[in-house]
Amino acid sequence: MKKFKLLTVFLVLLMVISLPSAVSAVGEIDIHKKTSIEILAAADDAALNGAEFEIYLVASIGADGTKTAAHGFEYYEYYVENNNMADIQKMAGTIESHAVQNGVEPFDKGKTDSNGLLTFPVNALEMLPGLYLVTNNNHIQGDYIYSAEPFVVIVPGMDDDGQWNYDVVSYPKFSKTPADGLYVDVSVIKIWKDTNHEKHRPAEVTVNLYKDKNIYDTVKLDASNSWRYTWKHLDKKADWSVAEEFSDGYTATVEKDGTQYVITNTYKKDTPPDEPEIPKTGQTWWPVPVLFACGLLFVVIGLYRRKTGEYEE
Amino acid sequence: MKNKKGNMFIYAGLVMIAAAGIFAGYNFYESSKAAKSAADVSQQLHIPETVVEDVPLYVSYPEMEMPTETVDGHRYIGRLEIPVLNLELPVMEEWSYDNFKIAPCRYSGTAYLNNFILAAHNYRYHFGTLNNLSEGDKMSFTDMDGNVFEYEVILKEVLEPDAIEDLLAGQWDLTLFTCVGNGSHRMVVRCKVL
Repeated sequence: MKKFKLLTVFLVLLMVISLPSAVSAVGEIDIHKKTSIEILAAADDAALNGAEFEIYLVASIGADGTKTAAHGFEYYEYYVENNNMADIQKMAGTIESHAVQNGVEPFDKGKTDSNGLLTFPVNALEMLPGLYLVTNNNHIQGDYIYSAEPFVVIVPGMDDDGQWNYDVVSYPKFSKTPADGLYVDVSVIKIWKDTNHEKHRPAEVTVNLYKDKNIYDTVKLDASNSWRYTWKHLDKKADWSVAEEFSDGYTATVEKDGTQYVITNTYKKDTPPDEPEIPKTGQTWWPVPVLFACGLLFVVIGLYRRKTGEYEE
Repeated sequence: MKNKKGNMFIYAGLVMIAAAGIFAGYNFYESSKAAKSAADVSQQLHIPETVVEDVPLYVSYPEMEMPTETVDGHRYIGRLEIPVLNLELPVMEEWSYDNFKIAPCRYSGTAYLNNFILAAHNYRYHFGTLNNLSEGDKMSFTDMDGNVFEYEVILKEVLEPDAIEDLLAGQWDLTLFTCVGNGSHRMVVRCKVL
């Protein structure tokens, strides 16, 4: 009996000791291992030949998967550390906007071959585990202009067997517009999410328009132009993007819907909501009957006194 | 002596009656001035007859600000029409006591989020006749992009002066309010969008 007990204890201990290392065999990331991102650019079953892509290092990855914002993206430090991939993906447009606005240098750039394939790293000596932002430029092929929304990729990725995969493949989704016509309109609309804190809104915001990542124009959005603007007659073949300058107290996210940019500012400070004040919307009428009645009373009194006065005389 | 005193009373009385008349006169003057200023603005607002885009912006982005046009230094968000009361009024983007003298104002919310609250003084030609509305009466609001929003009256209620929460309670697509009597209570009309 004693031996049996001893054996059980020994087995349990063995399991307990071996368990964490079994987890870490899958869980730990080799942060020194080289990674690659392969991009397959295709639309309507046609491979896109010569499509240009740029890749930015947004955050590096630790052995336990924690993310640390990289140079140029420190603004997103908190966001990147505390959100999952699905949520970070929604911010891809905003992060790209930030990179353009601040002139952050891409980690690497390259073009697809005739099969629509491009594997990073291209020029960079090596690529290590990290969170990368992939952006592309307008690509003209045949009768169409193709472009894909920016997206984030994390390497290594987890494959179906629960193993880390240090060579990731991405299939960006392209949209196309006919290449005919020389001009395009680019619009921007600003949305405020600051209910009960509207008093903190700035009087105006400055928005920059970038052509091929160089600043092209600057406009001010305010209440008088309904916080929106459209640039008309822009070169259809160039790469246009829009970014807003920093607004104190708000976080900005940028979304793109074709050539319509939507910049949403959300109030982020923890101040108490503004007190609602309800106006009094009535004219003041009460003095009228009061004065009239008093006046009438006085007249009556006066007449009476005159009358009685005469009699007394 | 008593004659004089009697006369004094009469004079005082007449003065008070005259004051009452002036007071009333001023109120009528303010009211007609408000009617005129609202009508003037209404004429100057350039609201497009038809909407330009296939999918209006507010459908894609309902949280957008209501577009405005500036007339005489004030921003307007559109036009409210209540055929049953023969009213066609411009609506200002923001409220203030000075603004109420010119036209009805938005108190809060937007037509796009169905939390629209409009307020105006109870002048005859602003919101003074709201009490004549009945359940089922129709009204419409047109924004500065030409989008039309149709509403139907669901109920009318009179709220206490301090009933802020009740006034702002959110489930109504459109709310109109003004003061009744001597500015203490509020006449509130609740509508749903069609």
